[in-house]
Amino acid sequence: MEPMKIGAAIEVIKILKPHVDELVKAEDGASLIGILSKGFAKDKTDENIGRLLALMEGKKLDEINERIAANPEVSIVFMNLAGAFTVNPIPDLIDAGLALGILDRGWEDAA
Amino acid sequence: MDSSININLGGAEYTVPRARLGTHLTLETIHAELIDAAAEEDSGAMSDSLFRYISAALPDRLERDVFSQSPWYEVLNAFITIATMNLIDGEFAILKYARSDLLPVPWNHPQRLRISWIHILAKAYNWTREEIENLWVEDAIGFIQEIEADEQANKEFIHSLSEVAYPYSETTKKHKYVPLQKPLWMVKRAVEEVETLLDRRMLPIGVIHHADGTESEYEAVQ
Repeated sequence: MEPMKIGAAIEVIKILKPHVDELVKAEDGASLIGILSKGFAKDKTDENIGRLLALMEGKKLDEINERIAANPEVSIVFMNLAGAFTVNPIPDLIDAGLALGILDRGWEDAA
Repeated sequence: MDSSININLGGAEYTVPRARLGTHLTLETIHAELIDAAAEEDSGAMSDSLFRYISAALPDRLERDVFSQSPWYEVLNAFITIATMNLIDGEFAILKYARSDLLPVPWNHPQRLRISWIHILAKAYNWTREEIENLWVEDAIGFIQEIEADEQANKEFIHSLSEVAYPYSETTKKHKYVPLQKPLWMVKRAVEEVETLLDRRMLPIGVIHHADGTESEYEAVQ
């Protein structure tokens, strides 16, 4: 998987924006996905999971939604997300959001 | 002031020189547009502003395809590196105490920043646009600061000759000279730290738990 282009990265940062205050408290990568999942469920924006995958993998949303429908197991979806975030790290995206003025804060080192 | 950095975009390396006044003003204008686009979360406008910002900083314009195909972190790194390199080097009172709450004038337009700087310098020194745009930013700010200081002195002289400077007081039944108010940047001075002594009776008593985990104990003064 290749890193996103700048337009997609900006859209991803906008999706992450409502959850940044919780994301920066995460202790590891797995908890990041969990925080996002809970945040989307709370806001009833589960479709953002598909949007994130589409943006980070550079694929169309319909294609991603079909893939999720074919493999709806949460663990598989989370694995896909984790893989995408390995290439496009959330801490770096949050710092980028601060530099661009989309976010009010950057990433804090959990250590 | 004269320096350069290297940035990587789309597998190619570009050398970016520090911006002279003309390019600096272009970068500032585009940066303001980027901030406006970020406030509206307009992704397309933000991407376009980033492309124009990086392209304006390069001696040769950046190809749109190169920008579009570059990883997002290369674009961000280029933007941040260029912005950092072009930060103003030096402390100028006219900038330090500039008011940030002023609204745009009714005749504002996208190129007004550049034109107003050129206008001030050209009017004072009769330089050409090219000469002005080739100045280092710090030199330009220094010149503008001196121009504004001279203008203020002229205004104060003219003010002192006018009856407006000598309002009549009903209380004293006299006219009293009131000087023209100087702008903040011409009067503000750095506050010197003064060491003060505390009355021992004002010191806390009992066990004091400090932030570093240590403890102290003070007893009341008899």
